[in-house]
Amino acid sequence: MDNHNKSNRPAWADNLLRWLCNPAYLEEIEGDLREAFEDRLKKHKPWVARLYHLMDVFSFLRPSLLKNPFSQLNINHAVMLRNHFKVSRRVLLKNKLFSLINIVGLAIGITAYVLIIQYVKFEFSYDQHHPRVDDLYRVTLTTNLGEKGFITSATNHPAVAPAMKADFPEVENYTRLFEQSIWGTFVLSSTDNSGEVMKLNAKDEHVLIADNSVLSLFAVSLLQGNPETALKDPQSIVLSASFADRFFGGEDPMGKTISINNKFPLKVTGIFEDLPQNTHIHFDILVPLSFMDEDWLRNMWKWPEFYNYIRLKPGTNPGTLEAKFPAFIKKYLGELMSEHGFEAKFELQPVKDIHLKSHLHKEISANSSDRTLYFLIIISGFVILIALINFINLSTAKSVERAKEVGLRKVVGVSRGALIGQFLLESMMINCISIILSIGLVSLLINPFNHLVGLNVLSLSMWTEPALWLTLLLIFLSGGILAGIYPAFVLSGYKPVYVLKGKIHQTGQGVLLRKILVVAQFSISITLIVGTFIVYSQFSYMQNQELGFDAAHNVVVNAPTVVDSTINHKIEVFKSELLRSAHINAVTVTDNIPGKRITLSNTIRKQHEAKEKGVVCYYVNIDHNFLDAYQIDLLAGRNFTIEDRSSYGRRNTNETEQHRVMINKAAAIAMGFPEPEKALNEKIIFKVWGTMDGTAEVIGIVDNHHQQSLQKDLDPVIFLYPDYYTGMYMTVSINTRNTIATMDFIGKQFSEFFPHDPYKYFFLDEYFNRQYRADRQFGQICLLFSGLAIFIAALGLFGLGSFMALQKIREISVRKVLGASLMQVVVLLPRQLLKLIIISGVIALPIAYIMVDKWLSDFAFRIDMDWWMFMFPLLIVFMVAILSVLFQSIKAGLINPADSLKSE
Amino acid sequence: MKGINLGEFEEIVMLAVAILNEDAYGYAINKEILSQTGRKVSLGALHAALHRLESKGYLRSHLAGATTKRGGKRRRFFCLTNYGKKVLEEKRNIRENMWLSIPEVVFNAK
Repeated sequence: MDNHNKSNRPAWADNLLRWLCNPAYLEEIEGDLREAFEDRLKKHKPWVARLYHLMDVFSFLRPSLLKNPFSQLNINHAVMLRNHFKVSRRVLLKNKLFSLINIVGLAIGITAYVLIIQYVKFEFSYDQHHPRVDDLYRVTLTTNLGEKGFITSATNHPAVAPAMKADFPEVENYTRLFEQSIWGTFVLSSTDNSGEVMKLNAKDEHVLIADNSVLSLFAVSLLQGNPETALKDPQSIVLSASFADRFFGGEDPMGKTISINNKFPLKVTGIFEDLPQNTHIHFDILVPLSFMDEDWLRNMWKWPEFYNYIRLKPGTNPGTLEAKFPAFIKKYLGELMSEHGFEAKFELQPVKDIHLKSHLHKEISANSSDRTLYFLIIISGFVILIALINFINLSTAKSVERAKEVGLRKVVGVSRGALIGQFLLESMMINCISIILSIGLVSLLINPFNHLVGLNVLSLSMWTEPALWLTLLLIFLSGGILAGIYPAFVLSGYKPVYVLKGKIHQTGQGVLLRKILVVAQFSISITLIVGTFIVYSQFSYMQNQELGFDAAHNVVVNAPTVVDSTINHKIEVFKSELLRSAHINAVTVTDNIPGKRITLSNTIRKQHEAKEKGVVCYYVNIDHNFLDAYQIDLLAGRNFTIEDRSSYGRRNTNETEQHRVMINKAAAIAMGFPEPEKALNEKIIFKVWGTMDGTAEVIGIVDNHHQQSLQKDLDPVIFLYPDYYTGMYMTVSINTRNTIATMDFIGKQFSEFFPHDPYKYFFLDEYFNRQYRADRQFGQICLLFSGLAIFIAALGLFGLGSFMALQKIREISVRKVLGASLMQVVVLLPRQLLKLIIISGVIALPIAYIMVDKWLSDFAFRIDMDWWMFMFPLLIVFMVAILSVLFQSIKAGLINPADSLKSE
Repeated sequence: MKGINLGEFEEIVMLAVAILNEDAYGYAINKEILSQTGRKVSLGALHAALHRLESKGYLRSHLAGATTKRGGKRRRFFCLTNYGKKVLEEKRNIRENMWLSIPEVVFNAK
């Protein structure tokens, strides 16, 4: 009976009680519990009784009934532990400088670490929230059109995904996205109740043209509208909540009509919650793909500008599907490939990896690289490491001062273990204070840090994440032990006999270790500074490099989109109207501006060359004012005149029409002209409309300009002057500081000439430099953290220097007595450091060289590394180091020898 | 006696101890409180209160009376100390005096 009942009670609960409960009360408690349980068994079912029993057991887990942690230990231990706390507190308070250096250093280090970890975590969270993201893939396209070899682009033909769905049973669903910005200008307008027209040029908004399935494949949550059908109707449009609010000003947007370019009325059929920042596709506005000709797109294998996403059936191995691609490509693209002599490959790219791993041509948004993130983690780890090294160095250096304390403790019988425990406790205390400080610091830095990285990475809610606390706990334990264990062993190892006799000689191995640690600190600091320095030089090089065009004086106005057949004439009149202002030099209308990727490309070749020799060239439509406005040099030939306008085979009516084009230097060289000038008056074959070959005469060769950031190479460009309207940007070259008045003047003229278009402008240099934002952020983060690293290292040196100076006081005094000058004794300390710095340089510089060399290789235009770029950081470290000990050194040198020697 | 440090629950516990006289141990007190007041008190709360009262000097205790029903564990029997009795009486006096001071109208007024 007894056994039976006992087995009925959960044994673990009793064990828990035995483990936690105060033994003085345990017997009666167990007895009462037992009695209560037996009573309940009579009234209730066994499981109910067990449940009550559990509740009773837990009711005993209250502080007054639990084991007392102190009394649990041997009574001596408890007293010792309290004593340790007391002594630790006194030691911290007595050595204020020492404690301050350790605490501040560690707090900064931990803060940096937490910031970086949160940032990295945010970056890793990209695109993880889409439904069934493991089955979601992007189909990329790799082709070898042109001389550059195979190029992989993130975009693919619009026919790819539908054909895959039809051919492969593994493909469950697909969606295609198309970026509006490469298609044409979008002006959105809407009439409100009072008949007033609201207008918005949608260049700044992310407009995507997409299949309806985008709403289900990606994490888009519709606040209003039906996700199954919202984008089915060609005349529908779906908006983000914030955009709808901005555009309609709080009115219910559902069912309202928005017109695109005053022509296509679309009905608002859905409102979605604003997308989070951590996704690689951003959009405010969705327009159905069926807005374009659906059947035509389905068979379009010549327009690789669509992002194709497919979702595979659960558990499909992407590799087996990819193995079927060659046959698939042959089926659909075989003819085109043999006709044009190129090869194409498709690959599946997991969507969850895109943000960190994908760096393809035509990415939909700028991606990060996981390499950078790992690099940042390493830096932040280093910052903590430097702070911990400070602690180890200062503690061992100070150990001599505490030798007597240790000796006395040992004499009265303290075990070595207890001494180690005490020193560990001290380091834990320092660590604990630092962590508390850094929690405050991180909370204060939330906004500045978000601003720095340009993302909403941090928020106060991060303090509710258990993972973060776990990290802090880990830092606390590992840091406390790592930094405490060595000083603890050194200090507890002193032999009382020698110590109390006053015979502690400088322990040799301690000095060596200290030197090694200081070298490690310096090496890390030097590497970080070199890295930061090169990153910054590269960045400023890119910003200050001749771009090949005038960016500083150009203002770009969005070109009119509401046009009729008289537009070309109207534009010319508008131009001459603007030129009446003395502050305006030139006006040009183009379909592209520098800083923007040219999305129209095709092959060009010399007239009598085979098709296969064609090189990929980028097409830009300009007018005869382009070279003036952009200050691009003409190397040979002449500029366009108004008579050079051509349909470029668009209308296909006049076969004898003469086409004239200009090309840039890169294009001439790519086509194989030995010198760019030789291309003048040559006939070249190019394509604009469809795959039709057109022949054009090269009338001018212009200098290269940087179409995109200097990370990208110079592109071959062919310039056309079409007689049809393709204008998207109107670049106005101004020559005044009074931009506001000039822009007002342009705005007035613009509204007069093009009343249906919103007037919107931006400055070209700002626009162009936006490409460097990611680099600039990276540079700033590097600067911040290497600055912190060196600050903490200097802090440690300052402490160490003050201690060394104290120890050297006798030596200095004796030297002074023997006639050394102040100068001679002051340099004693810095001289020691110099050696260490040189060793650090020898270690750090090669590592730094390898690292920055790798980083720079990503840039098409990069600075040449020079020896001084490495010497300069070394010099900085040297200066900081010397300055941090010099003060102490001078103080020691100024002491009257009589004072310091009389105690001998 | 100013400032008797005795809460309402503690008073009930002490009264239960007094009622049970010789038989006042944890589980029995628990049952007594349940039958007298209908209050379900967790064993843990009760034990904590008993030990608190003991440390205040209102109760004293001894261990005795192991039975098989309790798996061979002894009970801790509690009884009132003289100080405890005095405190309890004092508490009662205060209360009764206060009851007597209530004007007639308060409870009779309709």
